[in-house]
Order: sequence, then C-alpha cells, then structure tokens
Amino acid sequence: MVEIKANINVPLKNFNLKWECDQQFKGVTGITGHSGAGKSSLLQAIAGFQKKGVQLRVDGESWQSSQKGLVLPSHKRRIAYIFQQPYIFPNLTVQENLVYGMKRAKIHHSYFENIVEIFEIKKLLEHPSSALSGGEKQRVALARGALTKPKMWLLDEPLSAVDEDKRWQLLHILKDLFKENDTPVFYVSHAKEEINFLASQVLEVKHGFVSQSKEHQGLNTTLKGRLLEVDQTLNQSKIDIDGHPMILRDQALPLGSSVCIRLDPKQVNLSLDKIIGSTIINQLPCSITQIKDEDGFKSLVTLSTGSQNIHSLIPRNMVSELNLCEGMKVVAILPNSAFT
Amino acid sequence: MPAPAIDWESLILSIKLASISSALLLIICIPGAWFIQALPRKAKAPIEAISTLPMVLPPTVLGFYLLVFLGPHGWIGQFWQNFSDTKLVFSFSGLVIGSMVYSLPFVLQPILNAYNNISPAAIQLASSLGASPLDRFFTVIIPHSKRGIISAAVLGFAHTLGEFGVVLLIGGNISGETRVVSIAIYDHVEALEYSSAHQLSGILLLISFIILIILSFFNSKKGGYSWLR
Repeated sequence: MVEIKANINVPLKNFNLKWECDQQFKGVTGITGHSGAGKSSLLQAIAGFQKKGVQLRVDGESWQSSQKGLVLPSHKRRIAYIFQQPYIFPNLTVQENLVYGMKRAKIHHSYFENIVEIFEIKKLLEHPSSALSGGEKQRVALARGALTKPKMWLLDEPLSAVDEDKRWQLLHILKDLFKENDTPVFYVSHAKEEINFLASQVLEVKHGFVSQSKEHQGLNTTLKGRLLEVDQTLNQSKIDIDGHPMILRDQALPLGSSVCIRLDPKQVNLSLDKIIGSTIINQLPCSITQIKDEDGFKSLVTLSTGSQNIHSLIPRNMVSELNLCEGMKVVAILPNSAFT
Repeated sequence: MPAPAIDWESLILSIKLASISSALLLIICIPGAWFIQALPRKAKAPIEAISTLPMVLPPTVLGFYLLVFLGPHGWIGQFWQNFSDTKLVFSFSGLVIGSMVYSLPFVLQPILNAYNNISPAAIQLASSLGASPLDRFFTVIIPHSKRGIISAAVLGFAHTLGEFGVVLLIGGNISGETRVVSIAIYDHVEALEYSSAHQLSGILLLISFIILIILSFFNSKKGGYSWLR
C-alpha cells in the first residue's frame, strides 16, 4: 500500500493535465480515457519525466515539488515503467537487458530464475534483442521491470503490441504477479476487458482531468471457474462455474486451472428464462440476493451463482416490470465480450 | 627519368596530425555534444553556429585568425610560450590546435545528430531502471551513438588529411615538423616536379577513397547515406 499526495497541473498541447489526489493505492488502478486525453502524461508525471507543474509525495517522501525546484530523479524512485512499444536495449542481449535494472537495484540473483520462469522467457535469454517478436519484447520488458522489485508499476498500454492470442496469457501472468505483493500498479489501457480483469479501481482521464471513475467502484465482479476442456479447432475452452458450463475463448492454460472473468455490471442482463435461438454464448442461472436502487434510475441487482456473487445494473423500471424480488431464480445473460 | 622516391615523411606527418587531432576532438566532442544538446534551444543556436563556422569560412580566413591568436603576440601563443618556452606557430603543436578548430564541425555534428536521434524512451527507460545520468551516458548514450561517433572519427581524420590553407598560414613548410602532404604536393607543382606530385596526390586520393568507402559502409547499414548525419 502506498499513500500518494499529488497536485499535478501540467500544460499539455491542448489542455492541462490535472490531478489532485490524497489517497492510498494498492493493487491495480486502471487508467482509462480516450487517446490523447493525457493518460500517458499522467504516468510520465508520476515517473518524474515531467519537469513542470508537479507536486508529488509518495508515502510521505517528497518525489517532486516543481515550485520549489525539488525533484527526486527518476532513477531513485524505484519505478517499473512499461512503454506501449517495448524498448529493449539493442546493444545488449536479452539476458543483459533483464539484469540491467536488477543489478542497479541490487536484487539478489536468485530472483532471476523465478521471474524468468514466470514470464516463460528462458529460451530467449541468449537471443540478440533484434530477434524478438513484439510479444516477446514486451515479456522481456515486463520481466526486466519485475526484476527490480519496484515500489510502483507504471504500465502504458503494455499489451497493445502483443498478439491477441498471447494477450490473455500475459494478462494472467500479470494478474498473478501483481497479486503477490501489494505494490501499487497504474495500468493505462483503453481495452476495457484488460482493466476489468486486472483493476480494483479505475481513474478516468478526460481532456487532462483525472477523476475517480464511479462506475467501476466496487461493482466489478470476478467470476471464478475451472478449465474443463479446450477445443482448439474453435479456439474455445469450456469452463465450469458452480456446475454450469461456460464457453470462453481459448485461454492457453493447462486443464483444471482456475480462470477469472471480470464482469462489468452494466453489461450483465437478466432474463426470467433461458433464451433460446440467440447468439448469446453464455447464460448463467442464479438467484437474486439483493436489489438496491442506484443513481440515474438504475437498480443494482446482486446475484448468487451458488458460491459466488455477480452484479447486474439494470434500468429501475425493469424491476417492477419483471416483478423481480429477492430470492427469485433468474438467468444472468453474460456479455459475449467478457469471454473473448 | 627514374621515378623519384616517395616522400614518406610528409605522408606520415599528415597521418600523425590527422590521428592526433581527430582523437583529441573525439575526447572533447563526445561529452561536449551531450552538454550542447541538453542546453535550452536559445543557448544552443549560437553555440551550434560558432562550432559550424570553420565549415563555411575560407581556410585562409581561419588560418589568419589562428595566426593572430596563436602567434607570439596572441594570447594563446603567449600563454603557450610562458608555459613551454616554445613557439606555437610554425610548430607541430600549433598545427594540431589549428586542425582541431578546422575539423571541429566535422566531428561535432555527426555526434550531435546521433545524440538527437536517441529515442527519449531509451533514456527514460534506463533511468526508471535505476541508472544515474553518468551511468546512462556510458550504458545507453554512447552505445546508441556508436555509428555517429565512428562517422565523426572518420570525417575528422579525412578532413584534417586534406587541410591546406590553415597549415600554410600557421605551419609554413618545415620538413618533418609542419610540411604535411598537401603542402608537399603544392611545392612539387610549383617546382614543376609533376611525377612527385602525381605520386603523393595518387596516394592521398586512394586513402580518401578508402576512408569514404568505410564510411558509406557504416552509414548504409542504417539505410540512408549522408555525410553529416
């Protein structure tokens, strides 16, 4: 857990990046917003790459006070910065790239094997860095960051240069890595499913203005399932959630492993009965445990699948139109997008 | 008429002069260019202009000013005389200083260009990985500018090798001390010794050609091909 006090007002091209914050951060904080809204600039400001307009204290330690001209240089901040386009030093081998930060952070070399295994990059170690694919490069870049045991992660669309089928594999690796310690992670992405999968809270950047996103606060639900079988011809895998089979895109995980799916309550619909003759892939029988009124004429319905809860945010009038009540059996219509 | 003996002395002197002055220029320009590129834009413009002047000034103008400053009444010349009790003009040391001024833009510019081409991400990344500014200079900036530094060395060497006007004004024509190959060729032509002039000119042509081949080999790896980039 890290306490961040920030007062950032950095002039960008068309507007100012503004972030006022006095808050504890732990786990993954997603950062969303349109392209050019200032997401990357926010990370740059935290990393110390913005000289002007930044007041930043982390855990009581002053990182930057542009007014007073005080800056803790980036190389003393113990951050792991991951760029959208992974940068691998071309004059170094993969192995040398990996230990570049580790040596300087004085991390014991026994940690190396550990991280190399997690990111499955052992076979790349002796390669020249020019021989790596986009996905391999990002793996190496992420491992290089992890090897420094950073105090904070700053990731700028880390998976946008990664092939679709390798993306989920890496997302699972990242999720496990970030779960292990409570290092705060700032994760910029405009891929909703990545944010939903990883993040426990979300910051939204609009025209440079950074604010806590309400819609994600505490509402997102993780559904856990167990991988039953994989059909490679269809690139699909079947998982089991409380006895109900669900179809996912192939996760490239071993059979029997547990799979997490994050669901945005806005995208979960309810139906009184199973819908037949539609392109909906997954319908999950549940019972209603709670109905709560929310802002904007919405109602938040909490559903139990047996051992797990999920949420659905529906228009308030639907509650009376369908006569929804607590204890009622319904079918949760899960969005196809959550499974792709 | 038998072919005259090759004037090795002036050739070796030229190569020695070119090697020493380009080596000294590299030592100055590799860190110097980094400080220049880090300057704010307003301060950068005059410094870049001054350092490019030797490229556009006629060598005689440059030589004249060098003669004034390095001469016994110039402040550099006087300082040198107090310091070492020798004269700077018409000496090999004077030639080295003159050549360094004359070839400065040819060494500085390729290095500056190389530094400007380094992706900011590479430097930011190195600092996020805990590398201090000096550490970054040796582990990121110099390795990423290797090609520019090689170009700078080769251009500085080749340009000094062909120097004439500046040498004539501040070095004169002292055999084994300041009589470099371009001066020797001029002498031979004046004395109508065309076969000697042919020999030396041919050798210089060959050396320059080989140097440029090496240079374009290094540059072509990058795809483009430009002398000063």
